[in-house]
Amino acid sequence: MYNKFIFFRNNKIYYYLIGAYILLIVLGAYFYKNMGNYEERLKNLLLSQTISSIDNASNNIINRMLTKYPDFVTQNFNSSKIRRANEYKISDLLSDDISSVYILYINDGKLFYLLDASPKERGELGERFEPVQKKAFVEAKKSRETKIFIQPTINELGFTLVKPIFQNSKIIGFLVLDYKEGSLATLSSLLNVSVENLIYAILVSLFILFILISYMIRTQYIKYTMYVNPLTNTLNRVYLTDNYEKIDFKSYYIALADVDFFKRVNTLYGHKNGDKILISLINRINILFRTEDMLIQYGGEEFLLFIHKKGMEEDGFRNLLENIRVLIESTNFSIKYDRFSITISIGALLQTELEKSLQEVIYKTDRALYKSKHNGRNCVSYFDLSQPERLYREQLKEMIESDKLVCYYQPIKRLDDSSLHHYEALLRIEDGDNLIFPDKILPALEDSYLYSYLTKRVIEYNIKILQKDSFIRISINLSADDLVNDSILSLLSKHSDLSNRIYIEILETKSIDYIRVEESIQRLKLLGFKICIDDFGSGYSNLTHLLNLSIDYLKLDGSIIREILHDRRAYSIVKTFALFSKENNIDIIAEFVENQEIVDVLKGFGIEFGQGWYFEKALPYHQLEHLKS
Amino acid sequence: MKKIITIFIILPLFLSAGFDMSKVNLVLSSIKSAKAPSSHLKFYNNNRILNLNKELNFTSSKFADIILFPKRKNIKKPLIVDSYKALKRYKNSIGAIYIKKGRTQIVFVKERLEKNGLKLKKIANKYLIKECTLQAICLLLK
Repeated sequence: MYNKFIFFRNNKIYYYLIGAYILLIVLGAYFYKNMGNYEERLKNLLLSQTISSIDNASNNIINRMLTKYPDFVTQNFNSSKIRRANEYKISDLLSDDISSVYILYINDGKLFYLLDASPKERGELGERFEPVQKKAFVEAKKSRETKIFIQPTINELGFTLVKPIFQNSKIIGFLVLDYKEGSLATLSSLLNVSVENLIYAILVSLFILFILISYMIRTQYIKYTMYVNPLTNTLNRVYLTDNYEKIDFKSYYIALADVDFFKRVNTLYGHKNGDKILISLINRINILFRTEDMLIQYGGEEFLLFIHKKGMEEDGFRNLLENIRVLIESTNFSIKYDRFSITISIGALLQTELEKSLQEVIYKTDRALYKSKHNGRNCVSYFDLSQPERLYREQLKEMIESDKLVCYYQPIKRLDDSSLHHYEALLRIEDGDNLIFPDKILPALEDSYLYSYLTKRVIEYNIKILQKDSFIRISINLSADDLVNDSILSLLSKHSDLSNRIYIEILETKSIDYIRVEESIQRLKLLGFKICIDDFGSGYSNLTHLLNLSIDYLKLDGSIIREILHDRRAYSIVKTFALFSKENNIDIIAEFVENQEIVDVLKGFGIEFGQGWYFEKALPYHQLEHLKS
Repeated sequence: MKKIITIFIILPLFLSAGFDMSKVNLVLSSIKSAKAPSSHLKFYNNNRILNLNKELNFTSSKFADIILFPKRKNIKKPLIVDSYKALKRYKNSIGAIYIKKGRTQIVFVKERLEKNGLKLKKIANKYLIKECTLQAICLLLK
């Protein structure tokens, strides 16, 4: 079953982001709650640092007074003269910024004025003093250090400095300095700016972090929506492309499934109904899936099946794939009143742990899928390449890539006057002095991407000949699979200016998607290419399709022509085909024409063209007959 | 007219802004009769611009039990004056509420409260001083 949390499983960053997001909210809330305290503490700390000069001055004055008056409190109480003298001393601390300077005496935990040098509102000796911020006095007493704090509730005051006074290690009172509102204006504004800036900086940082995290989460969410096909609710190829490195493919058996001839369903019932069938099919596959398994829509009707190896042996995987195949095959799908069944072809790889990358795995499942299609579809094939085959394939690949591919040309002649009609390009690979023939090349490559690659190289080789030689006409062999290969079709389309001199010979194969092939043939014919069915009569030849394909030439297989003089059945078949072709405006080319007797019989049937050793064997381009003439 | 109304509303608030009114209201509401603590004392407030708690029982000077901030101090009723000096000088003053150096100062003399059959609730006891401490030297004797 498709597990939507696969996205989270494979993107740990998502967890980190959510964690960071929560942390950010908690930090933001905590900071917001304590912002006032931080601001206050920071201001007080900066103030304490700033008033160090006045602190030193007050220290000197107090020390002098305490030295002079060993019983400071009593002596001040008893003598108004001493009091005045001391008030005069502490008045030195007054400045434009300081409105009051006074010394408080502690009695029974309460504060009373002892000295007051303030220019106005002087406290009397023994008058109670009720502080607004008792806490500051307590802290100063406790820490035995000067404290300076802001006066937020007293309009005319800015700050207050409280300095504990000790005599004989015993606290006797406090020196208090009240700073006017607006005093230390520069410091105050600096403080405000600093604190504000700090707060703004933190808030901006938090905001940026918030935006960043939101953006990342949004990006991840968008990715998530990009990863899932909303129609089928399965992960798609974008997910795969983005997570090639992250998916632990070695933990999975991997298979590639393709719905056979699905295009027909779309063509017959429309894409909307086609989608419904696809959803229904996926739901059926999901029935057999476990939560740890994964289904990825690889193409329109192609699916990658990731079956987790945990709790699943190889046999279990084989059984599962077979069960999926049978389940789909046995299901009756219905659209309106039509009921029909569809099949799927599956290519799979068992030993994923031996592969280097997920791309390699998918490539191999694709080759196995190709094998399934080649074997008639509706089956499961496994990638399995023996060591010698592997080596041989690698050798061929190297030879093709290193331009050892050549074409030999065999002429196709008119039977009535032996004049040249065109040449058939025949594939060869030059391996030193030896030539490798198609029967040793094509089977080794036919279930791999190299096959279409080879076809493209052959086409390109012949395009060059055609561009060089404006008289030559060449037929090129293409398989039915080549005909539905977009890159091959676009290559041919690109050179449609040469189409009147190119004959496309389609090789018969076991399984042909006639609808797609027919579309391609129509496209090529519109571009001016001539179409020929090669080796007709060697495989299972479907006459209905033959007519539908609207071909120009039919090449009768050599195995029939060779027997025409000895075998009545071969004689009858050729005669019948000759008649059939004539009636349908299709020209026949006879292969393996080995002598004049065969030529005479063929001419008697009305067959126009032939090729074989009787006329000429296949030769490299530079030895061709038309070049000599 | 609007301007006048605005001035009348704003001005008392502005002028009383120097006082910590929560403290002032708290201490005034904590003054009780020693004999009948549950009875409500009546106040006469001579300072119209002070924004006192409306829950306090205000009346004319004739019927008031306590006179707040009187202009004339020779009244035979307990007074709450507006300076420390006045508290020291007038023996019929039971306490003082005033501002010094921007801070709200509240002082009640214990003996004078008792003499007038008054007391403070526990919550306001911190504002109490002894009569003796009005003489500074008394602090040293303690």
